[in-house]
Amino acid sequence: MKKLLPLTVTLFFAVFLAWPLAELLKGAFTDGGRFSLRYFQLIFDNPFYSQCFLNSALIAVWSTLLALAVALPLAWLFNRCEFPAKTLLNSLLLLPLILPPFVGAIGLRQFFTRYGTLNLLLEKTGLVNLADPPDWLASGGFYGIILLQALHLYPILFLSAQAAMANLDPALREAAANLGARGWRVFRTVTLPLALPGIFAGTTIVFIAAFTDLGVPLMFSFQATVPSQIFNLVTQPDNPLGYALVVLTLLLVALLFLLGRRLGGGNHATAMRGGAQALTVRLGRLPALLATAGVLGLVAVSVIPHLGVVLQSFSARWFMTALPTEWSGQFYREVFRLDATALSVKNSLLYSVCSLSLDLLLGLAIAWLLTREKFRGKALLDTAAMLPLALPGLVLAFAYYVTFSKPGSPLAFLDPRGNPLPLLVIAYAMHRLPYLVRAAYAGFQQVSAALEEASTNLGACAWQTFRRVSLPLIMANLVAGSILTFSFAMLDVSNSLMLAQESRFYPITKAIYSLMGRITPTAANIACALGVLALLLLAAALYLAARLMGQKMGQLFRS
Amino acid sequence: MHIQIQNLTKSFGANRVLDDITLTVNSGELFFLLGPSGCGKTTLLRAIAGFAEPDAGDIRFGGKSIVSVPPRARNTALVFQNYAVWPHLTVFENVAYGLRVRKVADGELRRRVQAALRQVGMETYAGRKPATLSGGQLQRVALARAIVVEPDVLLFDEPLSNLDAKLRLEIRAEIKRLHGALKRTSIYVTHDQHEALTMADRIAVMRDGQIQQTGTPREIYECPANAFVASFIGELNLFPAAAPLAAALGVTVSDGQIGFRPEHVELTGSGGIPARVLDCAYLGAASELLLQTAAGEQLKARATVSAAVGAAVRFTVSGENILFFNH
Repeated sequence: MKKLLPLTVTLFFAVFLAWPLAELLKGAFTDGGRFSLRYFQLIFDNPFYSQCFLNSALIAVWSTLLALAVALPLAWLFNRCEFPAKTLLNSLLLLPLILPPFVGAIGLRQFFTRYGTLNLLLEKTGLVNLADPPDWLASGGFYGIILLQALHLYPILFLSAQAAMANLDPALREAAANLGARGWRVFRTVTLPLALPGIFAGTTIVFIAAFTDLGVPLMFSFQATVPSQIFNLVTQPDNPLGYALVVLTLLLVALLFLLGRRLGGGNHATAMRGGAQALTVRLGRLPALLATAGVLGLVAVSVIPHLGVVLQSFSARWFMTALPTEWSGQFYREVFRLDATALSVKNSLLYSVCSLSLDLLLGLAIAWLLTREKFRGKALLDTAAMLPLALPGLVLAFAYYVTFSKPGSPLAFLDPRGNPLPLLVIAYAMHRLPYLVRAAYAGFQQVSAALEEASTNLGACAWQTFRRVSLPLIMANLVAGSILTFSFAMLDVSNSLMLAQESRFYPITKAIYSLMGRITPTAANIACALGVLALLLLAAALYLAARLMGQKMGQLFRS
Repeated sequence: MHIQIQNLTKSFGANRVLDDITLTVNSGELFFLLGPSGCGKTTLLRAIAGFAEPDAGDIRFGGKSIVSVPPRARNTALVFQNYAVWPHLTVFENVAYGLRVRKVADGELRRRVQAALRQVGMETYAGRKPATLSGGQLQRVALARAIVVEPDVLLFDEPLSNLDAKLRLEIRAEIKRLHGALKRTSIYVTHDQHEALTMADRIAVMRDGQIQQTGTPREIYECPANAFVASFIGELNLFPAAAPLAAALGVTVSDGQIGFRPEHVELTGSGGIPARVLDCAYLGAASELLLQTAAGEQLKARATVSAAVGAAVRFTVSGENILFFNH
C-alpha cells in the first residue's frame, strides 16, 4: 500500500499531465521529426494571428487595470476601516468570482447592444438617437469582454491585496506614523510598497485568466482572440498552428508566473507572531454610509449581466423595449423537454459526479502522502498536484484532445471523438484537483499526528484509524472542497467546449453555447433558463460550502 | 510485563539520538526516563511504543522481541503530552475506542469504560465533547483511555508538562495512586526532576542519547554517578579537586572534581571557612545564600536563617557529604 499509492499517483500525473504537455511541445517544435520553429514563424508572419495576440493582450491589460482600480481601494477600505455590515459586504464582494462570466455574457449583450436596454432608456432622455445608436460593447463585443472579465476577476485581486495588507506588521505603519507621516503618505511610502509582492501575485493570476478565457469571447462571437483561434483549431489535430498557438500561450503564462514569483518572493514584512493588533478606523455615519453604498453599487454592477440572463429566461416578449413586456416560465419546462438540454443536464451531473469521485480519491491520497509520509520526489508531487491551477484550462484541454485523439493510441477509450465521458471526467478532475488537495491537506495539517498515533497505539489498524479518526476530523474540509470541485465541474467551459464533440454528449455549458448559435427565436431564452438553473445549483452549493468552511473559504481561492 | 532494552541505537541523520541503550524495567515498576530536552528520552519511549524504528538493538517484552511487531499489536497504551484526545468523539467514545477496536461486547465495554472513568474521577463527563473540558480533565480522559484496555505497558510522554502547577501536583498524585492500584509496568518520560524523585520506583537519567545512571531516586540523589547526574538532579556546588576550597574542606585528592549540595553547607559560629554573603534569596521555609570565599570561589548554601548581603559568615561541609567525580 505504502509503495502502491505514490506509484499510482505518479502514473496518473505521467499519463494525464506530463504526456499531453510533451505531445503539445512535440507538435509545436518539430516538423517532420526534426526540431523546427517554422510554425511560430508562420504565426508571427500572419497579420491575423498578430491581431489575435494584440486583442487578447489588450483585453488582459484593460481587464487587469480595471480590476486593480476597483480592488485596491476596496482592500484598503476593508483592512483599515470598521463600519456596520462590513462582514456581509465582504462576502458579497466575492460573489462575482463564482458567477460564470460565460453565462453573464448573454445577459450583458441584451442590455448593451445597439438596441439594448441602455440605449432604449437613454433614447427617452434624448441622449441617444435610435437611428444610429452607439455600440457600447464596441466592434464585436470587445469592451463587453473587458467589462465581464474585470467584473469577474476583481475579487481575486481584492483577496490577495487584502491578505497582503493584513499580513503587514502594524508596527511598521506605526513607526511611520510615530515619525510624523500621515494617512496617505503612510499608505504610499510603507503599506503599498510592502504589500506589492502580494498584489503582484494576484495581478498575474488575473492577467492570465483574462488572456486565456475562452467562454466570453465565444459568447460574443469575437473571433480575433487567441483562445477563440485555439478553439477553432482544436478539431484539426494535423494543423500545427494550433499547437504553436497553445505553446505560445503556455510560454506567456510561464513567463508571467516566473516574473510573479521573482517580484512576489520577498515576504519580509509579515506580522510577528502575537504582534500588535492592527489599528482600524471606525468610520463616522456619513463615510460608513458612502462606503456601504459604494460597495453595494459595485456588487449591483457586477451582477447586471447575470440579472439579464434571469430576465431573458422568463421573457416571452422582449423586443425594442427596456424590459420584457411578456413573461413566461415555459423555457424552464422546455429545458427538461428538449433532448439537447435535458441530456446536457444529465451528462453534466454524471461527468461532475464521476470527476468528483476521482478527485476525492486522488486528493485524499496526495494530501495524505504530502502530510504524513516521507518519500523521494515529494516536492515534485506537490508541484504536480498544484500545476493544474496555473495551467489555463484551454491549454490542458487542447493538449488532451490532440494527445488522446491520435489514431493508434493504446488508450483508445479516451478518444474524445467517441464517448467523451472518460476523458472529460479526467479533464475535469485534473483541473479541480488542486482544490481538493488543498482542502484535504489543510485538514490533515490541522489533525495532529498524535491523534492518529493514539489510535494506532490502542490497536487500530491503518484503515480503522483513517475511518474513525482522520476522516471524521477532516470531513468538513472534504465536503467543502467537494462542493467547490463539483460545482466548478458543472460549469467548466474550456474542457466542455473543446472535448465534447457530439451533441448527445454535450455538458450544460456546451449546450448553452450551441443553443446560442441557433437561429430559432426561443433558443436564447432556453439557453438562459439553462444558465439560470446552473447558477442556482452553483449558489446552493457555495452556500453550503461557506456554511461548512466558515472563514476558511477564502483560502481555497487564494493563489 | 518485564521489559529489556538491549543495545538500542537510532540516528536522525548525523544525530545519534539513542546511543547503545541497554536497560531493564521490572514487571509492575513505575520507571522514569529523565533528562534534558534532546537527550533521547522521548525517542526511546516512541521506540518502545513502535512509532520510532530503531536502527539496531532489541526491545523485549516478557522475553519476546517486539521490534518487528507493528505498534498496534504491542498492547502498550500511551498517554500523550498534548493529550491527543479525539475532538470529534465524546469522553465515553474516546475511552471506549480501544475496546471497540478489540471488539469487546457492548455490555462489558460499557462496564469497563464507566469503571475507568470512575477511576479518574470523570464518570459524570461521559457524554461531554472534549472541547468543553479543561486541560486537567482532558489528561484524565487520556489516562482512562489508556488504562481501560488493560495494556501490558503504560507509557507516559511528559503528561504533565502542559498543565499548570496546581493541576500538575493533582494529576501527579492521581497517576501515582493509579499505578499503586493497577501495578502495571509503566515507563514515564519527563524532564522534571521533582516529578521523577517523588513518583519513580527507579529512574534512568539520560544525556545525549546515553544512559548516565539507573537507580532508585535515593541512589541517584545521594550517590550520583557523575557531575551531570548530580547537577541535573538537585543543585550542586562543583569545584576542581585542586581548588583552594577543596583543600580548606580537607580534600586530599587533587584529581577530578568535588561537589556538595547547598543543603549540606553548614553555617558555623566560629571555625570553618570564612566567606561573604553576596546574595540572599528568601524561599519561605529556607533562604538560599550565595557565598564568596576569600579566594573568590562562589557557592550556594541553604540556611534556615537569612543573612544580610555583605555580612561575614563561616561555613563548613562535613566529609561524608562531599561527592567525588573522576571526570
